[in-house]
Amino acid sequence: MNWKQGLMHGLLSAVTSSLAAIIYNGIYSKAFIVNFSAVLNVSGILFSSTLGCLLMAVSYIIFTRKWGIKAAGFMNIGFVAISFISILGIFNFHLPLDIESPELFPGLAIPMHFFPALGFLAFTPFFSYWRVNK
Amino acid sequence: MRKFRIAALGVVAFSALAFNTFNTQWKVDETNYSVKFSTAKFDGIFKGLKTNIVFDENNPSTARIEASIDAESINTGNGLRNKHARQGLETSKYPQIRFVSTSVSGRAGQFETTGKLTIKEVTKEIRFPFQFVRKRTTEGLFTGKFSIKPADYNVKKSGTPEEFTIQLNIPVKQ
Repeated sequence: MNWKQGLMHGLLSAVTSSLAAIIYNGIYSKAFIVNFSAVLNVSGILFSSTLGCLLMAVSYIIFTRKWGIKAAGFMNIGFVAISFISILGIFNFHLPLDIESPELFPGLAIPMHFFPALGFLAFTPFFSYWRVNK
Repeated sequence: MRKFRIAALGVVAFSALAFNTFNTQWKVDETNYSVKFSTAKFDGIFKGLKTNIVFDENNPSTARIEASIDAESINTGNGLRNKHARQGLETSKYPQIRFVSTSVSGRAGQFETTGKLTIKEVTKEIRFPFQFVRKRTTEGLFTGKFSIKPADYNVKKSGTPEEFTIQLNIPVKQ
């Protein structure tokens, strides 16, 4: 089992998706003149992206070891489904009352929920550890 | 002629003193006030408070309190809920919520006002206790709390909580 490759995959995806989220956050905040930094800031983005990408990497390593490349396919679908379902939480999210224009929050947070899965899936072809495990 | 001038000055001075004593005009500290509401399901705030407060704690019966708030400014911390609330209040058609006192009574910092609250052009009489604390000679703080039923004001959009408790915290200065 190639844990090194798997964790590299997770970390690279985490860095890329964090960077994308931070850039998007900056552009969005300037474009719409909003400030959601009390609930969505760089440390939060780094933490959640890293956690998400490492979880995906670990599950990839474990399940492809057991069931091979087909497991990767099912997991890809699972990652996308989980990302999609997680956006429901944003619609119910209660922002602090001193934050103005909460109606603009979903436009910022929803795309970010897809960044870790996007980053992870984009780099998957470069890490063929499930074939090694076969 | 000199006596007349002295008398006139006396009248002016007395009037000014009387005005200050019995008809103190207060202006809201616009950066620090809060008009909060809470329900069983969620809470929120209003902004855009405009007031005309004439109040002397030693002579509350002469007080007159007029206040309006921007209904569109409602913020529950959730964009979808804000939209729902604005639809319920029909803020584009009825942009303001107004209160005008008809009487004020009480003493020693504890007061009670009766007045007319208008929401969606439906006016109902309400009565609620409030407190006034003079912070310095020219600064004070009004606090108060009351409850209303949205249905009484024709706010009947589905999902609207049965009762809202409004909490006022209004620092003022002369």
